[in-house]
Amino acid sequence: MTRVKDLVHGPTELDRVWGLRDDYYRLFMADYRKALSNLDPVLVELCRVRVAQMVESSFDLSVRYSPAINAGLSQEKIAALADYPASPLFTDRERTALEFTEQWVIQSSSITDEDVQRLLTVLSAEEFIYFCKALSVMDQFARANAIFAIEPGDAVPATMPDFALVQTVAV
Amino acid sequence: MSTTPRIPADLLEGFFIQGEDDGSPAAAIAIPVELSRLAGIPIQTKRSFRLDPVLHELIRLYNAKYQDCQYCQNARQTIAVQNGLEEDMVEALGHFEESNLPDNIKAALRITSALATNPGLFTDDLWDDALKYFSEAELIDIVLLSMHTTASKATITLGLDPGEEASSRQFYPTEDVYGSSADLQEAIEDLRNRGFTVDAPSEIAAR
Repeated sequence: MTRVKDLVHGPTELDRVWGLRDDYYRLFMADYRKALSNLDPVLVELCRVRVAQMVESSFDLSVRYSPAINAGLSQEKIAALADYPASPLFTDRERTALEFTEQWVIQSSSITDEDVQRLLTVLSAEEFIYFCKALSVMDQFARANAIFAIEPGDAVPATMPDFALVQTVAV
Repeated sequence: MSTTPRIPADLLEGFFIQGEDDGSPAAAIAIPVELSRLAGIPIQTKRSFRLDPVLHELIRLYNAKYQDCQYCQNARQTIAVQNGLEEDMVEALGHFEESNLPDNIKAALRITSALATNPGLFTDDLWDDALKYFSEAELIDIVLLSMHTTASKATITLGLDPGEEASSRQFYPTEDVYGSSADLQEAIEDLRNRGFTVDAPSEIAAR
């Protein structure tokens, strides 16, 4: 259960906490949805889940990005995420993007020109821009949810229409 | 970190740190200006975050230092300065636990620090300690402001940090960077009526 005690009414815990700043919540989530929509959904989802694992956001781990599932992302692959450097389930493109994601989470200011050049061997320059924006909002969202200790619920917030609960897709 | 663009010049066209997305790749990374009006500036409007301006600025500057954003580190919000922000407070951010900063500021910065570094290590005890100094509504704003000010990670990683030369001064509420809204105009008039300087010296000189 979230650390926040004085909640607003809402269908999910996320709504009840973030709804305390409703204007900001709605604008941020609109930016979040748009940021994720500009890239390969499977790559986005792998990186989003990796961020959530690293910052320990149980809420973010409880949902799946539906466009990625529809594009064929399997639960088996998500379960293997922590072993992505060695697992044969991942492509070189995915490994490179996940390595960059981990740098982003740990200390983005330490990302070097060489790190960027390595990423640019698997992403176009335009994709790199969209990737940074997506990482930014995914990282922000998961970090705040972890501090609030927002727990998974039995419904997906209306602000996340492109997501589904893990239990409904993990078959 | 880098203040040299890491993307081709043709994709830089239309880049701005905050603004409205016009569909170009560079503009896609912009922070919506309304988000910044609600969260990123220490000017309280009807719908904005409502934190003490000095605390607001210290949270912003903590993240600026942690994320190594040259532009953000060297900018000062004049409303925070006029409310008592001192440079020795800014200097203390890098070692705030051992500093002379007030206990309430330290409690808030523990949230900011945990969010920026390792949120999984944040505890109920730290939250409860912060509640000794702040209302729960203020803690919501502290968390979301701490989150909001990590958005510079994208700008820095793309090599688009404008650098300290672009920001080593005080920023005033009437400047274009904040855009315009009825809420903001009302808040600015309130600040003006309370004796704060809200217009940049260059604007005053141009009149």
